Amino acid sequence: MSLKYIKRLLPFLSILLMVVPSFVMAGEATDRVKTVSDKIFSIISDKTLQTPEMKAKREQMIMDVVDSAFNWEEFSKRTLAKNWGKRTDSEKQEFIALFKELIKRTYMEKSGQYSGGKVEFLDEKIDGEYGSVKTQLVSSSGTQTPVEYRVMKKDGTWWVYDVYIEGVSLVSNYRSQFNDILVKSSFEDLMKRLKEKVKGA
Amino acid sequence: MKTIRLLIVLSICCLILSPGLLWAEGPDGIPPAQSMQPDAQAAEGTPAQGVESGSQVAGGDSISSEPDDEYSDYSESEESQPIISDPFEPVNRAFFVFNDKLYFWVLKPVSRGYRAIAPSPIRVGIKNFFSNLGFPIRFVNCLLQAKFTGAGNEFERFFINSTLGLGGFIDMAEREFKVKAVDEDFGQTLGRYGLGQGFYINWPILGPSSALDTIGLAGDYLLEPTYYADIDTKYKVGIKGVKTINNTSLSLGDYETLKDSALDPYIAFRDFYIQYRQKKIKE
Repeated sequence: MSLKYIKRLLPFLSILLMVVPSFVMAGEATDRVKTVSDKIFSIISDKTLQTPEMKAKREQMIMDVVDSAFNWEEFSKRTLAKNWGKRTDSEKQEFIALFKELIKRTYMEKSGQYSGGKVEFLDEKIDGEYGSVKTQLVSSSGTQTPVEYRVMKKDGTWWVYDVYIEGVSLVSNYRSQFNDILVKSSFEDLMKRLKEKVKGA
Repeated sequence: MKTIRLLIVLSICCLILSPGLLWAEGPDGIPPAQSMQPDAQAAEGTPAQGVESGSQVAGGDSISSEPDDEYSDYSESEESQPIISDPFEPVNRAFFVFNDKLYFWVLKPVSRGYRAIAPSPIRVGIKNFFSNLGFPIRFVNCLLQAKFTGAGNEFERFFINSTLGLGGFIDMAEREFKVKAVDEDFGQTLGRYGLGQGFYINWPILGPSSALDTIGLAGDYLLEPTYYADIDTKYKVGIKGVKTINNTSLSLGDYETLKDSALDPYIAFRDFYIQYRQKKIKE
C-alpha cells in the first residue's frame, strides 16, 4: 500500500529535485548579469528613447550600464595577451579606450532596432574567483542564440571579462586579429588601425 | 556508376588533404590546443617569443609576466583554444575578397528582392523544408558518433515534420513536442574521432572550411537527397541556389555586422569558423 504511494509520489519528487537546483543556481554572478541585461532591455524597449534625436542619449545610457559590469581592462589585457605586459601604462589606457570604442560602435548600431525578445538565464558555474553565466537570447521570431558571460571577482564584485556568442569568444576572436597584426607589423600599426576603425563609422 | 565516380574523387581528396591532417595531429606540428592556464614562465623567460609565429595565431592565450593567479582563467578541460594553420593565406584572402563581392553584388541584392516578395512565414517554411531534407546527414552522423538519443530525436523529428509538418514546412516537432534538431555532420564525426581540423581553407562560393570539414562536406554530399534525385545537374545547382537565397534572406545584415565589428575581417571570420566548429565537435 505504502509502496504504491511512493510510486505515485516519485514523479513529483523528481520534478521537485529538478526544480530546486535552478533556484539555488541563481547566484551573485547571475544577479549581476541579470541586473545589467534588465536595465538594457528597459532602455531599448523604451519608446521615447527610440527616436533618432535620442540616439546619443540612448547609447550613452546603455554604455553606462555596460560599463558598470564590464571590466574593459580585463578585456583588453586578454585580447593583447602576451603583448600586454610590454606596453606602457599610457599605451594601455589608450588601448583600453579604443577597444571599448570598437565594441561600442559595433553593438550600439543595433540598439535602435529592438523588436521584442528576451534573455533566459540557463546556468551558472563558479570556480573560485572565476565563473560563467550561461544565457540564451530568444528573438521575437523564436531564434535562440546562446550567450555566455565569463565573470571574475574583483574587489568583492563580479565583472564580465569575456562574452561567448554561439560558443565563439569575443576576446579570443579579437586576440587572433590583433596578434596577426602584431606578428606582421607593429603595436603602433595596430593602434593606428584601431583609431581609423573607430573614427570611420 | 555516379557513386563510384564520386567515391574516387573523395578518396583523391582524402589523399591530398591527409598530410595536412596528419601534420595537425603530429607532435612536430602545431602544438595541441592549449588550456587557458597562463604560462607566465615562457613569456617572461624569452621576450622574443612574445609575438607568436604566424601559424599559431590563436595560441597566445596566456598573459605574460604577471603572477599566475591574477590572470588564471575560468577553466575546464573543455576550454582549450582552437588553433588552425593557414598555409594558403594569400589564396584564402583572395577568395575572401571574391566571396565578399559575391555577397554584396549578387547574393544580397537577390535575397533582398526575394525578401520583398516572399513573406517571412513562407521563407521560414522553405528553410524548414530544406532542413528536413537534411535529416539523413544528421541521423547517420548521430549514429556514427554513437549518439543514439540524438539519432532517435532526429528520426522522430523527420517522422513528425514530414507528416504533421506537411512535408517539413512546419517544424511541428519543435513547436508541439519540443524535440530539437541535433546538428551533426561528417566533419564533426571525424573530429569526434580525434582528427584535427588540419589547415584552413576559404573556398570560393562555399566559404570558410578546413581540410577536415572539406572531407566532411564531401561525405555529407553522399547523404543529400538531391544527390540521388534523377534530375539534371543544372536543377541541382538551382535547388542549392534557392536554399542559399532563402536562408540568406532570413539573416540579412548578420554578415555585415560581423564584418564591421572586425579590424581584420578575414582573420575574424577564420577565427569565428574554427571556434564555432570546435564547439560543435565538443557538443
